[in-house]
Amino acid sequence: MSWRSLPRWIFYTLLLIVFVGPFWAFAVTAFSGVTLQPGRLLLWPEALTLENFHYAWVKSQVWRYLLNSLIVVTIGTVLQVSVSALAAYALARKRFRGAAAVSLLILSTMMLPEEVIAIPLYIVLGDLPLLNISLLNTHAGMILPVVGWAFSIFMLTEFMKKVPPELEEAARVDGANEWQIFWVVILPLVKPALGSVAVFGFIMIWDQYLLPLIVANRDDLYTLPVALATVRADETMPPAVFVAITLIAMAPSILIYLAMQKAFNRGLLMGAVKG
Amino acid sequence: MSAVSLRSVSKSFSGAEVIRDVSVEIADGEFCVLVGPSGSGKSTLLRLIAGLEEPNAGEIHIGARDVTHEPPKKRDIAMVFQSYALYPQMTVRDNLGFGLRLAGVARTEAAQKVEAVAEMLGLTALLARFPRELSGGQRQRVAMGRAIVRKPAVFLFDEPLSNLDAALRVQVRGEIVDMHQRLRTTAVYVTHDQVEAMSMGDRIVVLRNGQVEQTGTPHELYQRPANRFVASFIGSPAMNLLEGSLSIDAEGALTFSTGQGRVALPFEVELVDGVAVNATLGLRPEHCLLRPGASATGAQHSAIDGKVICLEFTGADTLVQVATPFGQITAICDDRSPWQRGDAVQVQLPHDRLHLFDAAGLRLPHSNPCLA
Repeated sequence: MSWRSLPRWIFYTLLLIVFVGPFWAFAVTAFSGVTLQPGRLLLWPEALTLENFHYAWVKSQVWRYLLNSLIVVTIGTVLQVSVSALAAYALARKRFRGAAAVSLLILSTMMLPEEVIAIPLYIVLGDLPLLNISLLNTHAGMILPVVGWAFSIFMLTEFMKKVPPELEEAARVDGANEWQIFWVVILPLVKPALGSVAVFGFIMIWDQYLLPLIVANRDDLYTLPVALATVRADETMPPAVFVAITLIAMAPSILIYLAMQKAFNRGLLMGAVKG
Repeated sequence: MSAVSLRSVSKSFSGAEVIRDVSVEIADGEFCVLVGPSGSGKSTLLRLIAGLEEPNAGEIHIGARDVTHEPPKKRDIAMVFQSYALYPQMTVRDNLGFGLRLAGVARTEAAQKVEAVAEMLGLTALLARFPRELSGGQRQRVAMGRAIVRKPAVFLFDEPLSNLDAALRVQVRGEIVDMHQRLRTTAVYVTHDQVEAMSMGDRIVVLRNGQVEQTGTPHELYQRPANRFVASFIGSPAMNLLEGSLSIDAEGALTFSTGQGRVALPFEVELVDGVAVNATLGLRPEHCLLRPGASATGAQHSAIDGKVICLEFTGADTLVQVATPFGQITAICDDRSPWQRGDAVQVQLPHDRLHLFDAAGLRLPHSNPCLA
């Protein structure tokens, strides 16, 4: 390291402190066994312990909220990626009357803040049209509204548009039907984009707060973000336990990103280069 | 039987007609080449045969079956694409076997067929590789193998050599012809390269603006082009086309003339009331004979005086550009051409090699009074 690069290193260190500092303080506090004032975090560990996690897991029953979140996010992500891929295939590869209108309709769903659709959504989920059943207080009620996500549809559409049409035609001549072209030819070629969409979708569903809040009235159905809001009001709970629960809530998003980082970055890069 | 028959086929895209009432008969086992410049509709015609496009009018028959509205998989065809269109995520083995897998061929039988085709095309050592690990020529052979392995009734080739370098193109051209002679499967081959068309096709269909200009064997197209377009398109370098007018001189002989030159032609063309008409005289560069000096009496001979203005040495030949009163003429001489820039020469026109076209660009049968 030369003196000339010192300002750059100082700048990087400051950036690191700004971005990693809060996570560091959370982790240190969660693993420390000292009593803290509410709103205070530690910068260095003191009396290392797993007691806060044990309290969160057993007494606060975080496992239940974690399980709910995992159910919703796993099924939701799989369905969201599947639906997005199918919709993107149609929008990218098929010529049909009204394609522009369909695209616009999907795009319009991104223009409304979720607070605006919260009440209509509550009414619809409470009495599903035609089926006349209620999805309130069910996992399905938290999953179905996030299955169609315009962002992932458009991202996959752009990637699928880049697949040369000759490949599809070659498969057609080889005897492939529509499903085989989608599944065997197109989908493997947009794998990096599927990885990116899955990561984005996972984080989007994991972070859902308003939707589980309006769907679940019983606390045994709460997901972690909703549970976090309720346990915060519990004055008997030590502040470090709340920090431990927050850490548990953040962990899956970070883990899924690290696990799929390669595909995620490749997907973003492909978009950048080919776009 | 796997003859291909196109009957009055038309195709439009967004109102623009790209194929206009095209009828072509391709015999069983024939190697038919569709050739034409960009935008002539040759690839569209091939895609219509493949079933990748549906005609707006007309019928397409393969063998005894009307396949006009059948999807590609029911037409018993295989296609080699310009970009090869190999599946990047599959190995060579999987690429070759993909069609068989879709057709429900048993795994062991499919594997045997893939091995046999790979051996035939020299791909055995490459079976485990992915397309990105192959050279252009190897990819081309895999694309051909993918077509062969299914033993289709008709092979369709869409400019398969255009992505290869010149040397490889000649080699693969030979391999395709060799493959066709071994399999004797009907083949329809699209190219914009007339050398490829001439050297490969049993029969050639020349297309322009979505219409058939002429159909015939390579010899027919070369020796008796039906019109100016075919005359200029077939042959390399292109035929010399001299613009002028036809008239009957005082002695009753047919004369081709421009403002600055006249040349007598030994043809029997009848002119309406003897009135001069615009016409084009064609002579291929390889049939031009150059002699030193100026002709003795000029216009009374089937020879044109000129001056060498440019020499292009290509190795085996030398292209000699001669400025004449009729315009610039290209002649081909051998590599030991004695000519220098500025030499006065006489371009001799062998009568049996001349082509004459009327004002509309159609070939004049020399002995017929076709202008009447």
